[in-house]
Amino acid sequence: MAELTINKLIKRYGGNTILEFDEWKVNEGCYWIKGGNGKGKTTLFKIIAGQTPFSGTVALNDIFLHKQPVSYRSGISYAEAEPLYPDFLTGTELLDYVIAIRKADRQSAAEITRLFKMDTFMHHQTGTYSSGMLKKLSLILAFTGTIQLYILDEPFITIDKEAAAILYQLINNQIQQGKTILISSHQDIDPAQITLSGIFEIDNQRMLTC
Amino acid sequence: MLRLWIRTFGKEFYKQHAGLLLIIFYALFGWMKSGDITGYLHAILVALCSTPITIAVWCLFMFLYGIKALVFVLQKLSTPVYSFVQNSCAAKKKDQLKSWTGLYLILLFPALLISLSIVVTAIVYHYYMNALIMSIVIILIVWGLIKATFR
Repeated sequence: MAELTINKLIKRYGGNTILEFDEWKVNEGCYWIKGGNGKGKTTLFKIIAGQTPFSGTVALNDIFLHKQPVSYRSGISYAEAEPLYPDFLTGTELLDYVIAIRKADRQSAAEITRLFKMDTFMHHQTGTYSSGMLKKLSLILAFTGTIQLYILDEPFITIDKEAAAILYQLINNQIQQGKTILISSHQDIDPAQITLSGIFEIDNQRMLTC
Repeated sequence: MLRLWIRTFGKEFYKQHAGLLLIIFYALFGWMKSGDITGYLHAILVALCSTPITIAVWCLFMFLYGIKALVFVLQKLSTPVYSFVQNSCAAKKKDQLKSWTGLYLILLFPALLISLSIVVTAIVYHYYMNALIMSIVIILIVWGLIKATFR
């Protein structure tokens, strides 16, 4: 079971406050974070992933980001909305890198790669990938290893229906294992595909329950 | 991790700075006859290690070269294309330090090679204090670069 807790969060860019709230907590399950463009969804995800400075505390299963950054980050996987990689690297090089860092099972990673029908492209340079293939690669990397909290920023954009079905399947597998999944999406999430544990909306710098 | 750092940061760094390094190399050795290079190199190394001023000048060069390498790495890290590097923060601290140390030793390789030659020459010619200062400066520069990069 995973529990994410955020307390007294303030995030500003220059003088512009993007996020400011006292407490937000989610347990296991899948949560949909809504909000219009520029409301701070990606900023919130980057904060939780430990990729941008902020004021406040973030903890996963009582492991605080600022106190135990390595332990905290090892439980988190973040897939960006528009993933980019150096175009001369191959998918295999990036996957090997993530496998080494997370001490992940190579066979499981190969299985996810096969599910997304990327196995024949993994030895190609990412510079030759389409945006959909880049997205699939980022999802393969995100689901590689043993993770407590998955952060998926707009995971359904640019991928085809078949890949979306695989993604739903992967998300459901993780929900069944008691993991936490945060998803931001401008597209509606099909309730028949995923059981959502909660829907939140970022509005006026705060997290509102929908 | 180090393998990927070399493929990305290392390769890009030398690709970007190959011209500058070749110009420096040519300015130092290009005009010499091949038979004179050994004696010339020896004379330069002795000159560099024999006085505190020449040691200080070389240390300053090392420092500037180090800053150049650091700025290059930080610039790359600030670009979206290199955001995959953030994954490495989940690796054990020891592994992260090893990888960044390895990368900076590779980026500084030309300057480190000359610096180590200066240290060896200083020891051979009994300029022990200069050899010690040079060694400390090399360690401090590499340590500082790792510290400035490692999060």
